[in-house]
Amino acid sequence: MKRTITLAAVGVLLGFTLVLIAMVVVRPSRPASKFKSEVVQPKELATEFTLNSTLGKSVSLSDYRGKVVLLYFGYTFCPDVCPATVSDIKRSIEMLGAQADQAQFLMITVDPERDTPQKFGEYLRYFHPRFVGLTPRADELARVATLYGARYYKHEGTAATGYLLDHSSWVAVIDRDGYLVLRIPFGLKPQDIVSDLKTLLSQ
Amino acid sequence: MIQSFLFNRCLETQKMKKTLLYIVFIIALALTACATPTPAPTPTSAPKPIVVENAWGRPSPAVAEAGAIYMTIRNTTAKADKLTQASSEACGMVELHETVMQAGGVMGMQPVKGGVIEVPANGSVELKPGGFHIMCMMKSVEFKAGNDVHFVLTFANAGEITIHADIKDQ
Repeated sequence: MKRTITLAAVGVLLGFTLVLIAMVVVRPSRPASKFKSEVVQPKELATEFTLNSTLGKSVSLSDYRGKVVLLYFGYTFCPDVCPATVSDIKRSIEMLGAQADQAQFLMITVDPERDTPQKFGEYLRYFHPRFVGLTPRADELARVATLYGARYYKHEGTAATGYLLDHSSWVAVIDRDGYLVLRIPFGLKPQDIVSDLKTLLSQ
Repeated sequence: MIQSFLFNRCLETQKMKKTLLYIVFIIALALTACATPTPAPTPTSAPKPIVVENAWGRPSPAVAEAGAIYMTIRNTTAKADKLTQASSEACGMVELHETVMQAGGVMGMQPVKGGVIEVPANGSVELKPGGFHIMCMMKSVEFKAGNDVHFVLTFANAGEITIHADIKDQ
């Protein structure tokens, strides 16, 4: 009798273990995302900001309501990651064709000390005449970066570089209704970016 | 006649089929050689110890004070080499840098560790976006699409090599 109970207990335990293993190994697959970028879940209303810009006036996020906004934190003395990203975004927006003016790229400098509105404007317009740069004060930058979860750290470079900045490499995407919905990771191909933009524009 | 005989024989096995293909290839090659006027003799200069391929950089405006140059560096020798420095008339200062991805998608740039980029023996190293790059600073000119920019690379063993980096969108 005792033996039967022990056996039953062992059996039940074994069963539980198997079920647990099965749950870990064969996790129910999540429904495939229709986006190639990282999806912000749950989507959140993008916080409003008003900052000095390369247009010679203050610009607010809400000025672009009705368009898909691509928001990027970077700086001009960034020869590798930033030009790669800005040039990929430019190509993606051009690939939108007739819908190209429905997408707006905004780049916030994380180096307001060195990126004056004039310099930053010249830099961005070189990539695309409609690209807009935002040049916040240091305290405004800190506030907006925190709101969007962007990070940036200043560190010593060399005599030639002066200080350098490490910064978040994603591009935040705000949909036409003003919701922060996606983060485009560094290196995502323009054809994937344009696919996401088209999906957002068709919603 | 002979061809047809060969053909039938060769069809017997898969292996033979391959042999047939091989023969046809050789004949074709021989015919091509006959048809081509005397090919230029290949230069017999000593093989280059370091070969730099696909050197390029993105277009950037004059106002951008820095620009990155990328390439593949191949070492054809059995001895490891290292890129120790680079220079260009287009840049007031050139350094060897690398981009490092940190937690949470934060990316940062720093001078390469030890100040050199190692090129393994009989191997290669790739300088590409998001990794190693040649950092052109105090750049005062536009890097214009379609142009090329000259750089002199200095290697510990192979010495100086002049390269032309194509300015283009990737």
